[in-house]
Amino acid sequence: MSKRQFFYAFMVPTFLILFALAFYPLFTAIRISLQNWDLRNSRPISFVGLANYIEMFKDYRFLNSLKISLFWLCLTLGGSIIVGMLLAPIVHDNAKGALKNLCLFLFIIPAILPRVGAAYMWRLMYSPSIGIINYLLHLVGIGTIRFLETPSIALISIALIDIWQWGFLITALGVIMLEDVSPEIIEAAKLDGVNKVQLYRSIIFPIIFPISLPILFIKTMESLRSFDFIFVLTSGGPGIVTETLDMYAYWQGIGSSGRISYASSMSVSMVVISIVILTIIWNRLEKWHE
Amino acid sequence: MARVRVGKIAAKVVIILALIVAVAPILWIIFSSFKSRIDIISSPPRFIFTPVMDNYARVFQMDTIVQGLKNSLIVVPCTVALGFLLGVPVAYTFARFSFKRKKDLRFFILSLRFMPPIAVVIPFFTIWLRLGLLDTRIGLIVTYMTISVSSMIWLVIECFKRIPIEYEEAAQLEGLDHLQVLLKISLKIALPSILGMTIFVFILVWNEFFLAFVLTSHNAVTMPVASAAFAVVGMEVPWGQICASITLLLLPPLVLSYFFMKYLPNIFNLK
Repeated sequence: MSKRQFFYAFMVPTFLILFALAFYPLFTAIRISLQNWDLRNSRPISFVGLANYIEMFKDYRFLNSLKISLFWLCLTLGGSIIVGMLLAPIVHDNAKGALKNLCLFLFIIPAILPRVGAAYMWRLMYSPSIGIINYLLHLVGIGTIRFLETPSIALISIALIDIWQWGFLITALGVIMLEDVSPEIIEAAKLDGVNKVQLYRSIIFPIIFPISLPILFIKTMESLRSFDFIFVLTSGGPGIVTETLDMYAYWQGIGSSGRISYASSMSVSMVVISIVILTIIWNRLEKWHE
Repeated sequence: MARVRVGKIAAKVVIILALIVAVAPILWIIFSSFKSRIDIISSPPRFIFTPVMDNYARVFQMDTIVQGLKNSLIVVPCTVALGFLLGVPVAYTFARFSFKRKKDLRFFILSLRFMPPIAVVIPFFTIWLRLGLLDTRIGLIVTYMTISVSSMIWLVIECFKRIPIEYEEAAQLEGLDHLQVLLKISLKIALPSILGMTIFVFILVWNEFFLAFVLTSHNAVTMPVASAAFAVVGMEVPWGQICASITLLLLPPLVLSYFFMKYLPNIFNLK
């Protein structure tokens, strides 16, 4: 098989399938977003131009969901990185041998579990009546906290689950990266009388930063999705304080309103937002590696 | 000296606490799945109880859960197999050949891999609705191919790149063509890490919720969707059944994690 035949036998079919799976839905979504298709309404479907997109930017609930999604992104990305940056050095410096291997293994487990599963675990623990967290709070004299029903803390309570999954994963990956930092650099710094905090802040973190970019990239893209958690834990409530973009688009398009055209315009916007973020990070990564 | 010792002990305490926080929620729901109704809703929580299988007996009598398990066990392996067959040769092409528009195609794969489901799910919903494939396993498998094929390509490129190219060059001098080199040399050497990546993609698809939730309603529900159905049951939360079905849902990722742990750093090696 020549290189050319190899190419036609494997690349062409796979990419034809992938193009079909990517672009047919995209063009369908664009077309539907310019119509007024409504699942709950039998009126004939007609072309309405950019009306759905214009409505989006006047829609208070949409703008609210955009804001909450952005807040979710900052909370989960920032929270996981902070946990990783604090915990990884402690584990690296103090856990050796079996304890370290145990840490590496167990810290990875939460991240590979289904988010529906993680959501129920925490719903059980957050429960005001039978939850173990409230029980422990009672032991130290703190009254019942309604984690998921209190508007001011509901989103943070859900974000903590994401941080539980990703913070530990980033810790484990951090420990693996720290192992690769050459001991000579650390010895040299120690001879100069640098203390631990300075050592990490000004020497080790700058060294591992470029290697950790892919992790931050993957986490950023992961943080654009939150539906699984929100659906199981609050369905967007109380009120709309945890209604992220995917939750709202779901309600509009499929859940209760059936306004499929309006939801499609949100889908198309989400594609555009994702491609913009991807392009920016991709170009950054290219530059770093050159 | 004493200060250093105190610091060491404090660090150990932090590590132990972190380990407990990482694992306790998982163990708690698994233990709870063996509790009787009374033990589960008791406050303060009971740590010592007589284990019972009631919850599992009840869960296996529920149509949705049985259906969910069955569908997941069909849909996920099919999706992963398609990802493997279509993805591995393409990954090899990316790793070893140079061709026009290679960078653009890689970006395409990347954006497919990381596209948030909300961007994909509504268009697929309308397409399957019109074709009559809503709530079918076929519709779900085809939708999932966007994830499995792109993820496989993305992850396996690195597996091939890590093989020293000399092996392949030597084989080519022996007269093997590209396909034979791939099958007899490269695939053999890279197989453990490729299988590691395949397991990862299996877990990725097994865990997927949003797409399946929108694209299925009864016949093709997957395990995560069936388990989440409890969320809308009403005020009385059937915790026993929830814990049992969640434990079933967690089982494959927990078991498989052992096999793929070694390859985890590879996943984050984007370049």
